[in-house]
Amino acid sequence: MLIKTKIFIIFIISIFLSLFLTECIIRVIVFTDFIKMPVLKNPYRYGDYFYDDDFWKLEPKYRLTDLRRIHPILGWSQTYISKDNPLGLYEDVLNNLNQNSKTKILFYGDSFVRGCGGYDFQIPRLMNLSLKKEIVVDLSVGGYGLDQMLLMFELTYTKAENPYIIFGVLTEDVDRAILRVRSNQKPYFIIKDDKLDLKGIPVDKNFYAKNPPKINSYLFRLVYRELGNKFQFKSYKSIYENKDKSKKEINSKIIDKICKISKNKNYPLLFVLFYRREDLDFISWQEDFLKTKLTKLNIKYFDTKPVLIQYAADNKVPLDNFYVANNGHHNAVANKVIAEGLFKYLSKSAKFN
Amino acid sequence: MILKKVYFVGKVILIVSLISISFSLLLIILLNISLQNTSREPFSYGKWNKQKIGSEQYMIAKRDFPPYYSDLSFKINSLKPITFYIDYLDNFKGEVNIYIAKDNGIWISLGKIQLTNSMKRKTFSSVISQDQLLDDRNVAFGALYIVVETYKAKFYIQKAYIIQT
Repeated sequence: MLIKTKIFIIFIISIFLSLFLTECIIRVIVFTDFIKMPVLKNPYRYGDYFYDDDFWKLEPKYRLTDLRRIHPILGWSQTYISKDNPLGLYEDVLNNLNQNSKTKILFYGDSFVRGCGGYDFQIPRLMNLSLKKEIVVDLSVGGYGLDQMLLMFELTYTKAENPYIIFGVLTEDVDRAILRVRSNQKPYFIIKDDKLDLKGIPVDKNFYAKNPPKINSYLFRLVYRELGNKFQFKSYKSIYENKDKSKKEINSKIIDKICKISKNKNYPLLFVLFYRREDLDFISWQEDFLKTKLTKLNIKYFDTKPVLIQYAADNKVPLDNFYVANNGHHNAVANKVIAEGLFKYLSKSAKFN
Repeated sequence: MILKKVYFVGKVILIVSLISISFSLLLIILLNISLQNTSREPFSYGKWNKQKIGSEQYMIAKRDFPPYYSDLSFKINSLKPITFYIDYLDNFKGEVNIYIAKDNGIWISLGKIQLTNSMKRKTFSSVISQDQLLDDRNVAFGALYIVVETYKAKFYIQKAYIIQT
């Protein structure tokens, strides 16, 4: 009996020790290149792209490399922040913003506004080739969520006289609004007393050093996520359902605020809806949420999905052909199709020419 | 007596350590193997892999540029000529550079072609040498990129084909 107890105790101690050792090895794999196991190093194992700050803390691929782009309120901006350029806007954007002879179209959004089709094929540039009395000011910044777009809007709409406002929103921008870190630390909103309350500012340049991932055990997180994704058990699903609920509430308030400012100032407002390749095949809850919300508030939107699908059908090309391989952004073809469609829409609805 | 106790404790520590190390290594290996084919990445970025047409023809998905590029996952037989068919949209007149980009980041220039605004398709042939195909480790690569470069041109590719005959 005594021998059996001893063996049992040794076994239990060994199990705990082996779990501890495994945890140590995983941490070595995740944080160093000493042991090369890409499968276990992959940040997707420990956090979700759409929901978890920990994913973004562990994923260096998207991280802002140039700290000169860090903006204390916006998180980051188009280019370097300086005394002369406190918003960190590109030179040509500043020039367009300062041009007084034309009606300005302030175009807010994320990287999908420019796409990856090359300089000459960015949607604002293509539109400016067609517009005569108006000029598109590209205030988009890659990686922005709808929350950062609202902040950029609040900081810039007074810089133009009676502008036309466009928000280019990728369905994923809805997800980004709950994140506290993405390419860098970012501002975020919480709802307090039924109002948006801005948090996460000022942005700290040493954010990553001061805020490591909040993961007590990488081994537990890894196993929990794998099992949760496979079996979709209730406690796992409820985490993400609650986050989805939070996303809807916050984005709803953000759109309310954009609408309120535009209506108070009497600025025409248009949303342009962008999609990833996957989103062209089905209706995501983000797409449904955006369209329902915009319709409810009577805000006009230009939906790029039917435009791209129609073009693909007319030209007998697959939908993949609108996207840059291994990148996911629109290419020049997609940008040209969207810019032409948007120009036609604006010519008709806003009498632009 | 003391020696006996030290021996016993040492034996226990050794057994526990061996079991723990074996278990943890086994667990890591099992995790690595079992997760090998499961990706948690939410994006597939579309279906970009080669589409085989017939036995030796490959279609490259349409791309934009600059630079125009496409991934091709097949081994090119260096001794046979490679033919590109490039269908393009919009009128364009000018010179286009064509490269094969190796997955180690090195571009091999295959030459230039002149496009005229009266054309909608251009064919281009080239032969790549064995040396060009081999990478630093002296093995043929699994992935190649066809790059069509026109940094200032305002036109874009409708379709491109590569045919190895």
